[in-house]
Amino acid sequence: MKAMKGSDYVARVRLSDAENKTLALPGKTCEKVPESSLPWLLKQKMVERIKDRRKDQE
Amino acid sequence: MPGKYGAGSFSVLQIGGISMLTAKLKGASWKIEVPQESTDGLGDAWSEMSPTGAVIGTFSQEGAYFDDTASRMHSALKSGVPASRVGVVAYAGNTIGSAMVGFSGMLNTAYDVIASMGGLSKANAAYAVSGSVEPGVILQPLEEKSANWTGTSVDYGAATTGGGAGYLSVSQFNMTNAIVKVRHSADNVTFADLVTFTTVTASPTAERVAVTGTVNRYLMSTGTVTGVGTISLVSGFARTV
Repeated sequence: MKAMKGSDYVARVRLSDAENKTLALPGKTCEKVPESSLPWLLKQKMVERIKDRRKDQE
Repeated sequence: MPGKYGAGSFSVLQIGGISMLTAKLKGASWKIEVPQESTDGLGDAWSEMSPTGAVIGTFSQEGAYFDDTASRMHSALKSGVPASRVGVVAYAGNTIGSAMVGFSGMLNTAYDVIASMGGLSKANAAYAVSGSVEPGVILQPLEEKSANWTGTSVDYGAATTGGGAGYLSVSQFNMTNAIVKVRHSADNVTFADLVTFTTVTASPTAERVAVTGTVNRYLMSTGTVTGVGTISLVSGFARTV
C-alpha cells in the first residue's frame, strides 16, 4: 500500500501535536502531520485528499 | 481510579463557576431518579411498574457557613428567581483523570438560611437539575493559571461514538481573555480540537458544550491566555456511553 503523504491532504479541523503546537489549520495542507496519523484522520473525515476536493473548496 | 473516597477527596463543587466549598459545607448529595408509573389493573394480583422514560436529577448541599462575600454562595442563591447554572463536582481528588460529575443545568429550588444562638449562621441549598447528570473525568484540575497550558492526555482505552459534553468552570479571572479547549486523539500523537469553549473574559462563569459522534480514545485540555493575571478553572469531559 502506498504511503500517505501529508502534502496530499488538507485539514478540515485544526490539528495539533501533544504540546498543542498547530500542525494544520482548516483548509491547509498537512505536511506537518505525522504520516502515521493520517489514516485515522482520513477515516474520521478530519482531513481530506486534495484531489477529492470540489473546485469551490479550493 | 475507582475506589472509596472520603471528605478530603471532595475537591470541587462549583455551580455557575461559584465555589461552594469556600463556605465549608458539611455535606452534598445528588440523586438520579427514574420515575415509574403503575401499570397494573383489574385482574392483576401483583402491582406492576413501568419506567416512563424520564430521568430526574437533583442536588443538595448542607451545613455551609452563611457567606455573603461577593461571588460566593449567597450571591448565587439570594435571588428568588432560579437561574440555571452549569455545575461541576469532583469527589475523587483533583488530578487529571479523576472522576468528575457534570450537571448541565442546576436550578436552585430552595435556599435555607439558618441562624442559631451561640453559633455561626449556616445555609443549605437544593437544586433541580434541568438536563443531565453526566459522569466524566477531569482534564484540567482546579488550578490557578497565569500562562498557556497543555495538560496530559487521559486514556479511555477506546474511542466512543455517542458524543459527550465538555465542562468548564471558572471561579476567578483577571486576565484579558482565555480560550480553553478539549482536544482528542486516536493515537496520542496528533490531536484535533473537539470542544472550544466560549472565550473567557470574566468570572464566575461555567459552560457545557455538547458534541456528537466519535470521541477518540485520548482527551486533553489546553488553554491559551491573553494578558497578565490569573485564571482559576476546572475542566472535564463526560462521554455518552
